[in-house]
Amino acid sequence: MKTLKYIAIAVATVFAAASCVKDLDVTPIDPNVELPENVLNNQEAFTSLLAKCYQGLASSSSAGESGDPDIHGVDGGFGQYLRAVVNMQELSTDVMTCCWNDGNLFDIHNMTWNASNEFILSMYYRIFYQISLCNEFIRQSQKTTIAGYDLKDQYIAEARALRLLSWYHAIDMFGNVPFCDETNTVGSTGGNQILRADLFNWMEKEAGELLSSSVLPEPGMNEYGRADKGLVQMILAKLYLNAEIWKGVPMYDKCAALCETIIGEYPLHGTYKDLFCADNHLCSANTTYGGDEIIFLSPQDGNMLRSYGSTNFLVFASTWSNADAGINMDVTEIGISSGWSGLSLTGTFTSKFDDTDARALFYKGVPQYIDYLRNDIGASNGWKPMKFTNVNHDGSPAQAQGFVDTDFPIFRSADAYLMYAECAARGSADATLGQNYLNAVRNRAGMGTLALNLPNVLDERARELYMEGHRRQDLIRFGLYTSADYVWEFKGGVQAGEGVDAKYNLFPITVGDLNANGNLTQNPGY
Amino acid sequence: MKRILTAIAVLLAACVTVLAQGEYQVKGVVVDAMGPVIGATVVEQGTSNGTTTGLDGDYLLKVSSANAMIEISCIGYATQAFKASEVPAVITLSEDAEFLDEVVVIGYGTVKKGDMTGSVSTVKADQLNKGVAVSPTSLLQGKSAGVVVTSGSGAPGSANTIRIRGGSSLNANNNPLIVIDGLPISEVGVSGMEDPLATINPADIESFTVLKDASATAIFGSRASNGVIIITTKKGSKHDNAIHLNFDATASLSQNTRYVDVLTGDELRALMAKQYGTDSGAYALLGNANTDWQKEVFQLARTLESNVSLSGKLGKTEKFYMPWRLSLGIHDQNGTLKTSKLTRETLALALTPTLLNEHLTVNLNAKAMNIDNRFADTGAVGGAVKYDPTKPVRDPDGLNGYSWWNNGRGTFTVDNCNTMAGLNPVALLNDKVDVANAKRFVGNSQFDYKIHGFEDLRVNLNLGIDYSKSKGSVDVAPDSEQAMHSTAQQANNHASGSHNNYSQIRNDQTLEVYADYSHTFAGKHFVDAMAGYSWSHYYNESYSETFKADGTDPSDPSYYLSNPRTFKTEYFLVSFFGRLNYSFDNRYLITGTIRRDGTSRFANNKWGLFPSVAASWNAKNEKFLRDSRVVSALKLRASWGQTGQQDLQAGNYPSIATYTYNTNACMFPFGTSYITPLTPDGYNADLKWETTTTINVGLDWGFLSDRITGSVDVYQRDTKDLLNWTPIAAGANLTNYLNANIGNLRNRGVEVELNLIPIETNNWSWKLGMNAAYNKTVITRLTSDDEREDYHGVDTGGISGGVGNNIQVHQTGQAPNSFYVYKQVYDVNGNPIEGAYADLNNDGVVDAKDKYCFHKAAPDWTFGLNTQLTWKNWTLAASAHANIGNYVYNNVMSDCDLLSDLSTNSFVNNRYSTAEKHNFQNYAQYWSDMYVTDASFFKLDNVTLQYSFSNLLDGYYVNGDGSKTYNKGLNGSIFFTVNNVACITGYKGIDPEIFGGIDNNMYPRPRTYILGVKLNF
Repeated sequence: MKTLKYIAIAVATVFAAASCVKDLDVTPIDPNVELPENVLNNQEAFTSLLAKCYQGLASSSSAGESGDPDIHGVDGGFGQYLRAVVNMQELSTDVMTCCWNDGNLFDIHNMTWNASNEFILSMYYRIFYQISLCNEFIRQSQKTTIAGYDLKDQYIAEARALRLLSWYHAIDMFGNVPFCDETNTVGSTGGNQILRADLFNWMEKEAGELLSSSVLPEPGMNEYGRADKGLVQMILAKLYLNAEIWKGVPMYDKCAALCETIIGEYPLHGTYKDLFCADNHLCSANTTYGGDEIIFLSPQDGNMLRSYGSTNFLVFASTWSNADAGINMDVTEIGISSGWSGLSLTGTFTSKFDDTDARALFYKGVPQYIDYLRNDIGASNGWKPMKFTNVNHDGSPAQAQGFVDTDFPIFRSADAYLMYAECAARGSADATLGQNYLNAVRNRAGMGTLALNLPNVLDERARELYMEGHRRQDLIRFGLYTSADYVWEFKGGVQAGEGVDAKYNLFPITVGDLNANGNLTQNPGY
Repeated sequence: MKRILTAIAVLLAACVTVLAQGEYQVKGVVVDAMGPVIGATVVEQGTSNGTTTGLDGDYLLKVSSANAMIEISCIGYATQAFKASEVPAVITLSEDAEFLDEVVVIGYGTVKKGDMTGSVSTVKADQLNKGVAVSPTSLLQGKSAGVVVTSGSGAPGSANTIRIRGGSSLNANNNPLIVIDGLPISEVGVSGMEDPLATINPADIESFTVLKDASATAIFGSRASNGVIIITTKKGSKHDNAIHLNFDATASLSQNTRYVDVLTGDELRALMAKQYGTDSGAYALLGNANTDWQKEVFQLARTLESNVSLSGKLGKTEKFYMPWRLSLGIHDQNGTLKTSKLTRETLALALTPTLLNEHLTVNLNAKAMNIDNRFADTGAVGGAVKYDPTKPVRDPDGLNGYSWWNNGRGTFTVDNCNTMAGLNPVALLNDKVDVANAKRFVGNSQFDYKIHGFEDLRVNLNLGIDYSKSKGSVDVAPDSEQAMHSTAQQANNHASGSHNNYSQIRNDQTLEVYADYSHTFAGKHFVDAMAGYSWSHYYNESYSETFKADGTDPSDPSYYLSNPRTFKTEYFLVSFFGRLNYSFDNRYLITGTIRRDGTSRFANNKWGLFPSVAASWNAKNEKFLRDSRVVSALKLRASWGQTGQQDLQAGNYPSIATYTYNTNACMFPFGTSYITPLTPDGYNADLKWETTTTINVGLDWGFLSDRITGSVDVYQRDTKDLLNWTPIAAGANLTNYLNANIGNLRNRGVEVELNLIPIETNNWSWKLGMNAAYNKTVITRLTSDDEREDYHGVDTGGISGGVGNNIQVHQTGQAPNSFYVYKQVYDVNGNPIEGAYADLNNDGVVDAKDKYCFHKAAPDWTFGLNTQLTWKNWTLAASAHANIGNYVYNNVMSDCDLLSDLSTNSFVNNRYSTAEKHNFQNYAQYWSDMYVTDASFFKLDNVTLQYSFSNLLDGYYVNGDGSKTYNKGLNGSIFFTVNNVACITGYKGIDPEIFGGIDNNMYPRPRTYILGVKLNF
């Protein structure tokens, strides 16, 4: 009997234990965390998920300016998408330098980077994080059949447009990259490498599909903050503009045709300065504010959408303070209380401007030419940019001084004007029209006519679009980025500037990905 | 109680009692089964009157009267006592069975010390460090070979870091499992209480048992990969029917001993004049003061502590008796950094009733704690190093009466605040109120039932709970300097200040049940089989909100600096385990364990299986040693085993797809409405258990009746499938870094423990404990694919200076967290040349490829030493520990060494005293190996001088009938202790002992002087 009792107890214990084993199948209990299958049953949740695809461009984390960053291996502020774009496209060029002792930052302007550079890492991973977010959105949306999700097709098209923007950055900066789309599963297996020309073809096809379908809103017909066909048109125009480099086939005629369409849709705004101030959302051509020139932007808000990157970086880092010289830039002029003293424009660049140019928005309290990257007081000389500000267009203060309200204009029509002019200068578009467009951009800045030729167009692009993330691509297209034919202060790491190896026309694939993904081959020369 | 009352009666009666004075002589011989016992102690009980036996075991002692009690004792033998008139001529001592059969607490049971097969070391309360210790683990420092305890900092209540045999993980948890009275305790702190072990009053600790090898730890399975520390608290005694009252009180003063060597005001003015000239704008920023900011932020701090415990026994029959113990501790500590303060009350109750004719033993433990903290902003420690010493602390024209860096526009607005500058360290402390209260209850009930009629089998049920609740708030006043520096608080030239509320609830529950069968067959075959099941649930809930403190309307979109947010999480562990011990004739022992662990953290690979086997040969019990008088113990051990790790320290849902809503500082506008984005989180569905395999060979010995004991252990631990935070293929997941089972790690080491009793006589006793350990950790693999030649590894070890700069690396073939630096080039005078580094790869350029691995923070060798010298009533005790081969990156120096940072952005920074000599004019040399320095040290941790008194005011109490009764009076001691007495090191910073090896303005560990008294009734 006794033995039986023990057996009974033992059996009962085993069953009790077995039921506790089920405890191991957990679902999150955090009110802020949801399982995908629970979330994706209504349109509101899909709206929130799509908003993440947009927010990925605007700020570095899901918890404000200093929370846990979306990507790791680099400081959250440096790892912000648009700050990385500016570091890659502007800091590595004749436009500007940065005097901070941060990691391997000097290597960017000095053009001495390698595949371990953390700033290149931040751009590389930002691009693929953004692509992964869009893939996840498309994957989940395609699966769902919920009632009431009537915006499904449009949302998917917007995610595809955003994804195309990141592929545009990938093809421009890294060339031959791992490819992944919504058909991949979320795991740890890396994609196969796609060659630059093949990626070009895929992107051209993707853009074509988005433009020919009716689901993506027509140019200017979506609300503020969101993507429409204007964005896709600009990306496609940029593809054609750079096709000679990226695909090996010149396609300037196609570029010009598309630019003409864009110019027809997006007029120039009256005042240059308004495009970069705290309330520049008023220049957004989207329906909400009914503005004109800005085709696609990434918003910032001093209270609701904060970041140490994007325009916040462009405003705060562009200051200068030096007690020794007894002169200080008054940072309240640009709408903040205290800056970070980092960015300096090169003399090579600022010398392209006439004093009367409305775009010459510089603090000139220091020598124009840079003769040290970081001097004995921890700064460099060279004029400081005051293009981006946190002041409203009427001079009134923005809502907060700690973080800016200024939106980052990713594409605006003045770019398309100059792209057409360039195609014309290359003989692939109407010369008169090209001259007119060039003049239109110059006139808005209070400048007179300039002859339509390639060097003039390149300089005009510098004056018009500096700090907006285009310069490196332009210099490469004109063959001047690495060449000894055109130098600026500290190109190649020397004060006078010198040519560097042509391998620098592409950034290296970051070394961490080479180790994580056996399918990849490093870009040539690294 | 009776004893206390009698003691009081004696005190009262003392003046009228006639003390009997008489002379009585006892003499005889002390022998054991083998013959005369030399050096046995013969003493008149309750006095210091005594002697030791001579070469023939003989003794002669004069005592006060024929009624005096004579006690005969010798280590290894049972103590005997006789009335003086009844002492036999030949006293035969018998071996102390309890001594030989010393029981060691292991997982799910106990084992006789002689039967241990694993590597285990036990530290008893009397070996522990004396002095002020809020955390029990600081008592363990230097006490056990291979156990490295690094105190967090000098802040009251800061948590210690414990490493046993290095660490077996790279990114996952490297803390040992802590088990208190049979209940595994979470080692994660709660908000408001940094040290999770502060629940235990050190005064309540009976012993520590450290389990090191896999044979000992495997039965704990998961969470035991890094060793186990079992803490047993004091209980009431079942042998003693009396009630005991113990009381102790201490008062301490703590003071910092060293300060960072920065420039004085005069020195800074001289350097600034040289650097910029006296006409410069930079020089004009200087003031006239000579402020020593480090002296301004620190203070002489006092601590008061008192503990009372009562213990006794209820019931005296075999059917039921219940030893009990109740203790109360109060600790009130001011930190040396001004404004830091901690008060703590602890209450512990232990009931150990035995029922049903000793068939049912119950162990009830309840520990409650209440802790109040005022945290000082430790930014003031580094601030005091860097802040301009030419500025006065206070300035009648300053902000809130404090001097501050402003842009000279004369108004107290954000607009005028120089927010790039440092904050006035004294204002930083005083303008911030950061307070917290934490309450915690840890309790378990353990029922151990010996089956009636089948007593070889027992069933044990253990139910435990660890519940804590804390809340706190952080206030920063509007328009204080700190508020102005916070970008989120700036609007319209005004700084809103902030108010943060937070709270946390943690609730961990454990259920364990096991059955144990033990039997000796045919007198020689001992078998002990155990099988069990364990279930634990860990729950954590927290809340936080931060809003503007300037009266901004709650409906204002900018009101919340951080939205109210509740966070909840939980996980489960379930395990099945078994152990089989077999010993033959007490000579050959073998132990096998197996454990199957399940965790809710892994979606697809929840279960792991972890076996171990160990064997030992107790040579002492062999014929040729059994009768040896020289060798008292000799045992050879060998073990192999595996343990698992699942605590990857990345939340509780790392392997399932989740989406998380953004906070309010990260909304996104669609048109005019702001949407809360939903972030898909990266996850790895294929996560599995990290497995550590340990091989251990050891030898335990004892000579000369265990006057010399010790052990030596050699081990190798290999960890595979490291739970690693590692870069993953771009585009493959919703993150670029993922937790994945990638990489291998190896630890190898040797440990030696040696305990000596060189002198043991009637008046003198000297005990000496020494231990030494060598450990080497190497990463043997770091990537899933074959590593490329140019892959330098994973950067770690963030430093101050610049943004996002790292100084350490995980690299294959190197120790984890190796310093990854450039090789500095020096001039002929030995001074570093700015920007000149060695081209180590000889490619003609100095770039990131020339960085190399240069030492690491973990020591190669660790040593512990403790000694106790007793002469009559006086005891002098000291303990020390030493590390060799540990390196520290002096970030304080590297961040204060650049001359051009003297003045930037219109403010002035103080410099390290080396700055002028190093003469770095343009670039901070963060990655120079000159800042990585050997920080080997010897630390004298504490010295205690104690005077013990027994039978204070003792004497003969005249009873009513004229007879006399001896009363023992009061026992106790008075002691004086100095903690953190001395440190011998070549390291230039203030303290070479820094976990992680990056010296970045740690809250300094002070020297503490303690005066205390202990009374036992």
